[in-house]
Amino acid sequence: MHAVLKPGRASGHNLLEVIVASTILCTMVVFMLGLWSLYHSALNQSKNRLVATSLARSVLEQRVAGGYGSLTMILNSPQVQTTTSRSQVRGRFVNVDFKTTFLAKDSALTPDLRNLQVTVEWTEDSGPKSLTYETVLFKTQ
Amino acid sequence: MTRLKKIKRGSALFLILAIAGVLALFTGAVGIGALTNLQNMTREAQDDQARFMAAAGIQAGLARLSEPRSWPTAGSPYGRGEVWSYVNYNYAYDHLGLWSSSRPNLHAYVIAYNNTPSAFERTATGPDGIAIPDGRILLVSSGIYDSDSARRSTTVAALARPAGISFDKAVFGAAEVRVLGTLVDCIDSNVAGWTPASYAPYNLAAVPVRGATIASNNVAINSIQFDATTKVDGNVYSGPNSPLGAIGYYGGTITGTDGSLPSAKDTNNVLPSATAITLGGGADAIFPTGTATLAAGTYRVNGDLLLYAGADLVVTGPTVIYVDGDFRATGAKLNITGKPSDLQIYMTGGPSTVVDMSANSQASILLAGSDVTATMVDSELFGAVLANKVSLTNSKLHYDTAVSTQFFGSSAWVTDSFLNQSTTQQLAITIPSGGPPSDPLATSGGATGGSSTGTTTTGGSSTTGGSTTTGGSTTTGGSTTTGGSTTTGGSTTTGGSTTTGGSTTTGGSTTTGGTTTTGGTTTGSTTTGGSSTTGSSTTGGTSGGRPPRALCCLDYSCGPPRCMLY
Repeated sequence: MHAVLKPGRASGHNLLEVIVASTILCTMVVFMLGLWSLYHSALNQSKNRLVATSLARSVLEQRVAGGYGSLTMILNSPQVQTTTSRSQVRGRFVNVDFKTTFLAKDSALTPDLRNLQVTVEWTEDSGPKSLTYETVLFKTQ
Repeated sequence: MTRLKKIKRGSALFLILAIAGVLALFTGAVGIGALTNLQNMTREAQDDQARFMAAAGIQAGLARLSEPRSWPTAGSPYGRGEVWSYVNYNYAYDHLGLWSSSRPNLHAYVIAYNNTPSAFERTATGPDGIAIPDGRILLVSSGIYDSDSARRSTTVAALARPAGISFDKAVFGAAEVRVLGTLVDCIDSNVAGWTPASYAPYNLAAVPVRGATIASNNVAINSIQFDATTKVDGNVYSGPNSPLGAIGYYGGTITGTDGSLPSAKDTNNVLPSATAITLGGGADAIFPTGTATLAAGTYRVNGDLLLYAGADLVVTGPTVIYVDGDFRATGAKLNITGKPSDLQIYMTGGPSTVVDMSANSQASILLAGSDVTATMVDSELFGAVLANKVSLTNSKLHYDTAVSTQFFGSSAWVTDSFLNQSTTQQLAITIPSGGPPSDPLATSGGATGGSSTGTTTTGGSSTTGGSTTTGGSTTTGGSTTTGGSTTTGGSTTTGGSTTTGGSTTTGGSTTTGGTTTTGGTTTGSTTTGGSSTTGSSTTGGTSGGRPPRALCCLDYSCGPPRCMLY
């Protein structure tokens, strides 16, 4: 029996080894949990930016496709619409409101050109964000 | 006992370290993927902003082309209207720059390559050798997004065409031209004191002017037909790539050459002016025997325009008449004391309407109706005729060479087509260096406005990084897969609605998403997803011998923008 136990004392885990391993594991887990949180934050930012980009693009291209004349009725009158993005993040639903403001106005130099501007605003954990697209439209288009 | 033997001292630490290493690598990869995706989204937004700015440049270019014509001169080397060429009086590139009013880091740069007869310096090729069709202007616009950390650019190129009518031919029938027993020669109303009464016949064979061109877009046999007594002091062209026999001379003589048009001629329909004065009380406008005087202006006849024998219609200045019905003159006179350009008649009633001049009618007019059939028998006309079918019999048509390079009916220019992506990727805009002179457009309220004064531009600038060029419509979603996670972006643009989704699957957790938004109709869109292509390059430098010139400064050294467009 003694002969059998002797090699066992040289193998297996001692207390110090277990403590060190556990400490490293815990440290890594805590660190990675933090990274995963950042990762999720980045993903959410990407998603929000993607939504904002698509909103701004679609609104502006819709207005451009409508042509110069279609802007007359809404000249200098901001067109605001709010869209809610509903996502499921780690089991819970999160709503993000996107406020889209479209403004058309005549050029200060010539009314033959109209300035079209779309601004999308939303709020993230880090604070308010916005994205602005703009272009001009000539009267014959 | 066997189990105890297999466990070595220190193996737990090694195992934990290995697991931690794998987790760290996995987490790092996922994190890099997420950050890359975020960067791609940011770049996509910047590309979009540059693309919309480039599109704005095209629109600003059209606005400048549509201004009233003003030739470049030594004192004012900037052309206006369609004579805004790719070079100015000083043979320097003629540019148009515009800055966003709200975002100084957004701007566009436009160059026009002009292949119209009125070009200050005509060119049939673009910057990379691309062919510019006859009568078109190539607008190349680079939209540039500048920030401290990134510079993105997008180049858009479009062919522009005039919305108005060019009377560059004496007689043009899109489908058919018949000239029988008729003389077609030239006059020049720009000669001081010219009136139709001062016309004197000249010897076509001895002193040909060769300015009265007859043409058709048709390629069929006998699309253009003469007879033995027809004489034409100019060239004759049938439709593009027409076969032998498309022009039937039958003994008729011309002083110029014949052949095929390089491209089909535009036959734009002029739209009636909304402010035109109604003539004829909303029905036919009838001019019986006697003299009637019309004050210079714009008129519209909702019915027929009828001039009977002995009628003499006089205009006091430049006059435009839109005719929704027929135009018939029988033994009548129209503007027979004035220049042809002083009385422009546009047929706006469609293919069921006709023009009929007969019984020694005389007119000094420019007549256009791309859908109508115009017939002239035993009559005389100073000016030019454009119609679907033209028939001249035993008549005289004196083409006014003074109108050959102008556009009538509308000075506007519109986009004819956008160049596809592969083509525009090859286009490059060269930005001149040197001190920008004062911009004359600022003082006259032109499309580009603003002024360039004060700062000197040196060295030029370079544009690097990705560039996305848009032509027609392209939709590309963005998708990035990193490690074990998948981030799927994507926006789909469809006819009636826009749906933007997004789902993220990460490790064991799931973030599903999805945002649905409505957008209405979206057309002509280009969406770049993450990746971008190289496109425009912007380089500096001054061409040797050419005086440096720039309407706007595009260099970082310029400071705040000074060429505010809107």
